[in-house]
Amino acid sequence: MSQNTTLVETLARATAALRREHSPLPILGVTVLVFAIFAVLAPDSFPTAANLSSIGFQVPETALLGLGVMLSMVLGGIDLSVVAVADLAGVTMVQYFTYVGATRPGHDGPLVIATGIAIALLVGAVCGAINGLIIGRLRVLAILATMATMEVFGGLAIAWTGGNTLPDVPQPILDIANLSPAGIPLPAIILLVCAVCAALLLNGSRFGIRATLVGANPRAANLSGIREKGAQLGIYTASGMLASVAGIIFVARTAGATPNYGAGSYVLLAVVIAVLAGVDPLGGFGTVLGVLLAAFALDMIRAGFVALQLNQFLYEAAQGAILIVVLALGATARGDMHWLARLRRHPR
Amino acid sequence: MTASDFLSRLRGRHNEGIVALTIVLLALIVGALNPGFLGLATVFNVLRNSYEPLLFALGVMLVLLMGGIDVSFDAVGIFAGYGTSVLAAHGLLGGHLWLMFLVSTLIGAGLGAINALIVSLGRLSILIVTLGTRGIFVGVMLTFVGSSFISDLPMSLQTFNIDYLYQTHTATGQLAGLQILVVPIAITCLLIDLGLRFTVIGRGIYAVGGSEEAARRAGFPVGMIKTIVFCCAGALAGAAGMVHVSLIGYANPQDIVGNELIVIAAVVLGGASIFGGRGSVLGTVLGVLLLELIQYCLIILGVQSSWDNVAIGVMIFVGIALQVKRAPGGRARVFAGGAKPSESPS
Repeated sequence: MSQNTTLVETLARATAALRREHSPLPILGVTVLVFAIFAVLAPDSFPTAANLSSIGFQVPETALLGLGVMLSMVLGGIDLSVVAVADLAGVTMVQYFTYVGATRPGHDGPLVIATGIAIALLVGAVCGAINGLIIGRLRVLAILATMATMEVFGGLAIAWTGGNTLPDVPQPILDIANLSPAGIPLPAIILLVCAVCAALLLNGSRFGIRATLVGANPRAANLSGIREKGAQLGIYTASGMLASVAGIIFVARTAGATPNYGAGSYVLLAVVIAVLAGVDPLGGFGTVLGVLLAAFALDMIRAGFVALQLNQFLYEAAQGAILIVVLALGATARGDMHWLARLRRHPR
Repeated sequence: MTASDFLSRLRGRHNEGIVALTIVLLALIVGALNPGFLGLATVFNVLRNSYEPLLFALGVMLVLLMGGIDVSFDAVGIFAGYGTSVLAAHGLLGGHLWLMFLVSTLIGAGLGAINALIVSLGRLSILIVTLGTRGIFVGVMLTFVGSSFISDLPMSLQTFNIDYLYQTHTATGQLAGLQILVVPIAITCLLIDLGLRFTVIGRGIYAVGGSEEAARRAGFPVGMIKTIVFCCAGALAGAAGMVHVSLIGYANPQDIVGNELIVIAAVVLGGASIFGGRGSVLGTVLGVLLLELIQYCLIILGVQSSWDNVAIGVMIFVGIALQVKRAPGGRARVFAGGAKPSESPS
């Protein structure tokens, strides 16, 4: 009798933990489930070290973009310009390298590389700050503002390169995409560093906690003396910088700066990652761990599709489906699906 | 009527007057720079470029009036247009032009119904749902319908392209004509405008956009209104997809998707409020015409096409700035398609 009680108790606690708001367990479970499914369906090609390594090189790009979108969602907005900022940052960096002739032998010293990276980060910060100012000071809706800046930033990148890919990428940058110190892909290390910074910013700093409050309830935050303008500026600047890191990785992995790389599909993917991570699009909650897991899960799905030789277009459809399913599940948890409740009360 | 009353009536409830004025000014300026510019040929060419975005824009406007942002319209358009072309290429539609447009419109309406269904599942954000359905529609189309060019379209579709009501020539001697297409499109605009103004469902759309909860309690059939709006928006997008195919002369499944911003910019520029409840057909038409005119002018003036995106982005800004200036207090919290500021828990 007592054994049954503890079993029931454990089950009850487990389901309560699952249904607890903002628990990381669901997304962790999803990640494990996805891995298991594809490992079973494609045992020869999926769970191999080579495949996992390639995932490790691929995930950081999208995860960084997802972190950027997550930050903007914490404030109840959405940053559609992350990909454009990444592209512009990458283009600016490579233009600099071309200008100083960094591809010539002996000219790719650490100072040159560091300056290039700093330039990219600066571009990201400036673009993010512009977003933050437009949304915070001009009081423009985030979706509209970032739609406009997406066009402007992306357009600047296109106009600057004439639509072509810039090829002058010095070797140290290219190495980012190929090295695996201690067996861990370098982009993944970069991602972890950025993720730790983002987590510290969001959860461990006064600024981050205030920003979360602004997102959760702007009016109450305002009445408590928290300036929304400062939160918008800071969050979007951080988002822009994360995007620029993604842009650097783009350049490394594609061995060139393409002005509209990922312009279509990566935006959807970043939003799916953020929503899958449990971020509430209405604002007030964000989780770095969730974004990392979600990005990982989605890239595993992509790799799984490849391993199963499924049509790559189906992956985009799958992203859309995942987005909607996760939204719907969120709605059930919030008790928004009234028709479901009615069904339960009057089973036919 | 005082002078200021007259001026505000000229301006229009949604700043339509300002958009119209901008169009006139722009045309005059470019006309001064390029003497051959001002003429019927320009009008015809700009109109020709506007048919497709206008149909899309009307759909976007309808959803926006309800308070939601629909980003799936281009996917619906290409799905319908390309799907119909596949059917036509297989000879299933007998080469009848009207049948192709009908099928395309119906496919669009069906996809719109899917949007409506998902949104009605719970209080789901229209923006994010349509972001998802967009991916689904494109992915499914490219996977199951096909991913290759179709260039052997029925003859009727190809000649429709050059079926002119009236022809003239540009300053450089090229042919420019007013297509027959302008008639059904003008009728569509008129019907939508009348519907919005004089039917209960039409007023209901504005009501839902103003405040969904208040509309529901006032007795408006909110669920039905939403379904109708999404189906109409889908139908318009489907028709737009077919227009696209007919104007280009072949069906490319990678088309349309990616150019949606200019449509949304046009709708916003035309005075429709992003919060819902405000907007007009006239404003949307003027917004589309202005943006197409700008793009046309950029080409005429020899500006490289790589600056197009920047121009569009700036235009969206202008439209936004006009709106924000108008709204008292300018509340700017984004509700990605769902609740309005007055309904937030704050």
